[in-house]
Amino acid sequence: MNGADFEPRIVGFLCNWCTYSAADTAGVSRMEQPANVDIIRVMCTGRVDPVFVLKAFAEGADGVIVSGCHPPGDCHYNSGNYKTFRRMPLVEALLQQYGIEEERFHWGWISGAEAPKWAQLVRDFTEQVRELGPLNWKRELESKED
Amino acid sequence: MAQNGKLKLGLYWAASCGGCEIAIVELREKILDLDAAADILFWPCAMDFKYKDVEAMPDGHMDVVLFNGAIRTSENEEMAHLLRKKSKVLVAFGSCAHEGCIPGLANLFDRKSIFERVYLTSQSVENPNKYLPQTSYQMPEGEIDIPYFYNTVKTLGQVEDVDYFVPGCPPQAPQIWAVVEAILGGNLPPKGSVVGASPDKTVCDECKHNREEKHVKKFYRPHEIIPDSNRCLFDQGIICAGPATRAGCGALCTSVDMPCRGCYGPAPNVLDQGAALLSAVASVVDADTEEDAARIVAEVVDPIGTFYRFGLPASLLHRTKLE
Amino acid sequence: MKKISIDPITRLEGHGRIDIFLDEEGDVANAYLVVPELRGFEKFAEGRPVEELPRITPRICGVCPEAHHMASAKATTRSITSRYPRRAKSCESCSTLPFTSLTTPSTFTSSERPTLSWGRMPRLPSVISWAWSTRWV
Repeated sequence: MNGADFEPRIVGFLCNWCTYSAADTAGVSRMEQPANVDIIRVMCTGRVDPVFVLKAFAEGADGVIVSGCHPPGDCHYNSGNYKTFRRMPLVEALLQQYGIEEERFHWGWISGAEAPKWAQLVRDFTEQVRELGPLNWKRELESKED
Repeated sequence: MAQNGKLKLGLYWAASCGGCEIAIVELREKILDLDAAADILFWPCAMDFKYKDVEAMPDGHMDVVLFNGAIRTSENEEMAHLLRKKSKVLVAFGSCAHEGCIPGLANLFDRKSIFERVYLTSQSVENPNKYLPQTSYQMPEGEIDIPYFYNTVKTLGQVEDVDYFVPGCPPQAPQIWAVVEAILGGNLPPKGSVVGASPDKTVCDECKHNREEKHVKKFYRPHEIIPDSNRCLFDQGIICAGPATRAGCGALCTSVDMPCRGCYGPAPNVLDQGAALLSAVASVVDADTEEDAARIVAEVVDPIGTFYRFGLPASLLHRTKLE
Repeated sequence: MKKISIDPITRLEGHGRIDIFLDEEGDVANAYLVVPELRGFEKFAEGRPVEELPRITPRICGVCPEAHHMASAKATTRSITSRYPRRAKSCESCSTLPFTSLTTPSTFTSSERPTLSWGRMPRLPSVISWAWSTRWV
């Protein structure tokens, strides 16, 4: 199902104070971006339990984004993003071992003032995932079970 | 209950090692009490009842079936369905039936790669004609069948409706006896519960080591350091699954300074044991920059094997991607 | 040809079935032992940290986990270090599983006399093989 007719489903866990705010600004300012990201607002990326990422992929997401405030000093709760940069590399390693391409998972920092950066990320990441094709984790598992 | 008031009991093993049967034997003299209270109507390990005896039973004939072993082949699955039909209460007994256990690590591979290794490339196999298992083979006298080997190991709960789960590899004898008593006394919790283990605690609660705040600057594999027997192993940088594992075993492994590997299954209210453990491990890394954090967590070898040692089939993603 | 299946074989560890084919006279033409199980330890051990194998391989068999534990512990030790700790060798020599658990029951059940007698003595060959395995003889 590659190609122009595949619309990636991307889940984005965005921290309320930074990236969600940037996304909001990007939307209000009518910045060009595809509508493929389903945004889930969290108060801090430190709230993003690795299980959220795994569940998103297991339930049908083709790509996942986790984005929040820049370390070291921007986190609204001081050090929530420290937890994020300790956890996410290990989540990356786990996903890789599962066979989920690393291009399907993006984590990083976008501050509230960086709305254009958010719009660019959405454009680039959507295309990146579109090229990879659908992940369809559960359905693939069932169909290949024979 | 049978005419003589005894509980009608069945025990079966699917893709298992027999350890859960030995765990029943570990009841020691209490096995005589079990024998007095129950009529065992099916137990291939210890008694001579055949599959056709089970097939001939009326539906729901057995009061309780303790089913251990993971679902690896079509025969395992057929027996799961048959024993569900012939029992009133079906218990997923032991880690294999509960969450896949060690045979579940085969979900890192597929049928083709497993067959190639086992039957063609293994150093101790001699197979010059390169025979691979086939579900049906014509011998001179007639046809011989073997079950179909699935690509993916499943838990009992993934193929059948399970009433209770007894975790552990193996379940510990005192816990087994507690389950037997609960069954005989008729006081079991709601359907779907995990029994024979703590309802609300993790292994850390049973562990005797002293826990302090964790600041892990380096992860050590168990053979790389000699741990201090008094301090928490995790504090010392040894990855221990205790924080993500349900209590019930008495923290046997940590009592000999070996880290827990999670055989009692996910802690209560945890959706995915491996993700919970990964989160615990990464959260206590003592790093204030992204580079340091990345460097320290890169020391974790074999993430799936470490975090999902016993629970890969039960995990959210179930297995690695199939080609 | 008629086929009789003994399914499953019982009172041992493992899964098995015996398919017996009878000819027209009702005599056994051939019999096959069929092993309908496989878990693939040889494959999924690949990629696991070597020090974890002594905890993975005992799950090959719940009746003799110690044998697999010993084998993988020995292999792991030798793969990690060429300096072989004396304490490790002593631990390995102390394994009495074959003697105490796996052979004793068959030794004892052959005796009909309930009191201690020659019939209850361990068989000489099993004593010799155990002593040799510890290298104390």
